[in-house]
Amino acid sequence: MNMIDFLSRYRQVITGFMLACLPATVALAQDEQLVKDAANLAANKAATTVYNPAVNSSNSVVASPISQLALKAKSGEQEASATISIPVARYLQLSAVLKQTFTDKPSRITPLSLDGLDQGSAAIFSLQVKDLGPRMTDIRQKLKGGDLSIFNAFDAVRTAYATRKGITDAQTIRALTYQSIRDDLTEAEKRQLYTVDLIRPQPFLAGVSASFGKVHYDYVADITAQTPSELTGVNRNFRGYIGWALSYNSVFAASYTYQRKYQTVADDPVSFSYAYSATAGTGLTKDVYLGTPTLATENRFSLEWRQLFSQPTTGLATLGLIPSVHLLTTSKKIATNLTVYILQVDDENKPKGLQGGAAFGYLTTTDYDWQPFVKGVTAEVFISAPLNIFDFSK
Amino acid sequence: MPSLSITTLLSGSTGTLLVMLDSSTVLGSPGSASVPLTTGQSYVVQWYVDAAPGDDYTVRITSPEEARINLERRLKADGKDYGGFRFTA
Repeated sequence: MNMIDFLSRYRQVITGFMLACLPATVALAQDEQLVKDAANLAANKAATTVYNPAVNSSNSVVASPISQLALKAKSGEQEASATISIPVARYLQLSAVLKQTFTDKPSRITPLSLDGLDQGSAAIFSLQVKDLGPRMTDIRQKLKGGDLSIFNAFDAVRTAYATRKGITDAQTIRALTYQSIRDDLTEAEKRQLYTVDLIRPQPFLAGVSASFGKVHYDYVADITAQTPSELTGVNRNFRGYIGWALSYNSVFAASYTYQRKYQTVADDPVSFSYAYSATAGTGLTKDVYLGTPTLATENRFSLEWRQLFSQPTTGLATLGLIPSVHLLTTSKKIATNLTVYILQVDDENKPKGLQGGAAFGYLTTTDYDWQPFVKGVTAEVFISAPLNIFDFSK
Repeated sequence: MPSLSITTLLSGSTGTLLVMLDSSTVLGSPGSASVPLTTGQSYVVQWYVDAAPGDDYTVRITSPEEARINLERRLKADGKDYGGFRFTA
């Protein structure tokens, strides 16, 4: 049974789960396309989404096949999504995301039907290789330099571990090494060890993804058209990426995306009145795009840096910044973006309550020409999913 | 006068097993050493191992009594381990 079959078979379960959980998850939501370039802001209604807390960053264990349900809100539209993540090997994770955008209250959401993807929905399949589990650094120089910061942090963590485990014998506690306790540390304890650089994340991650989003356009081919025409198609994205974790709060990534999607001459539709029938006169109005949407390809090269900032005293994440730059070689444009996440976390550094922020973008005109700031800039506020800076799968 | 008597072993032929007493290197490679201590003074002993996964290492301190330990471990996948404790001679 392939993934489409699997999703089709269980689509009612997924949809039911989504609908059941929507009220409870209004406060949350899946992210959207973190590296969304400004060129796509208006046209690409089906964005991508992500999961997961800032520090729940290594290989997450998925108890349910549906690992995340979310609702995302931003100006003008909302988006529901369901994510299925399946670890297929120790360092390998397969993910599938179904998304549906809507502009009204979500009375019913059906990302999949017997005909395949429904209008406004998107499916994303990704395979990610990731080994971010903590690895001990080479601390010889620090030890030889008489630096006791590692010992002090480790001793505090070990004492907490022994207390938690009810170990009281002094010699037994002395024999607790990092290796013997590392698999049973709390996030707060790990943070203590990150702070003194006893351990670091494994730096490497990579992956590929493919997304398919169904789009529908009402349009008039030219000004002589008497009635609007319709076009339905599927936008496709294929992406490969490679990333380096600089720390547990910082990751740098480069990616290439091949896009094949429909585009319109103008970003926004216009109101069009037309006759219901040849004898009934003017009777209907519809928002339409001027000109026939055309299928275009784009090659996008992106560089992205994801950085979390924490409170110095508590070490808890409070702010996430994601600057990125995108080179669109086919349309000869450059897009720059800055996404700001306001993070709310609990004592374990896991997200709680509303997560959201703002996204700002600037896009050049064709031939990489800079345009006046007021023309090239875009901005939006969103309420979205917790940011996981290591998740590039969607 | 008390002394720190320590022996370290590493099963593989290559790798690092470093033992520090405060800021002094007691053992830079597997072996034995004896270091005089001052009664009533506090010390920190630390060790760092970097060898092949699956290798065994031993840290054995027979004196002083306050620092006695007989540790034998097999290195996991990343081949590294760290430990240490504070004691008063």
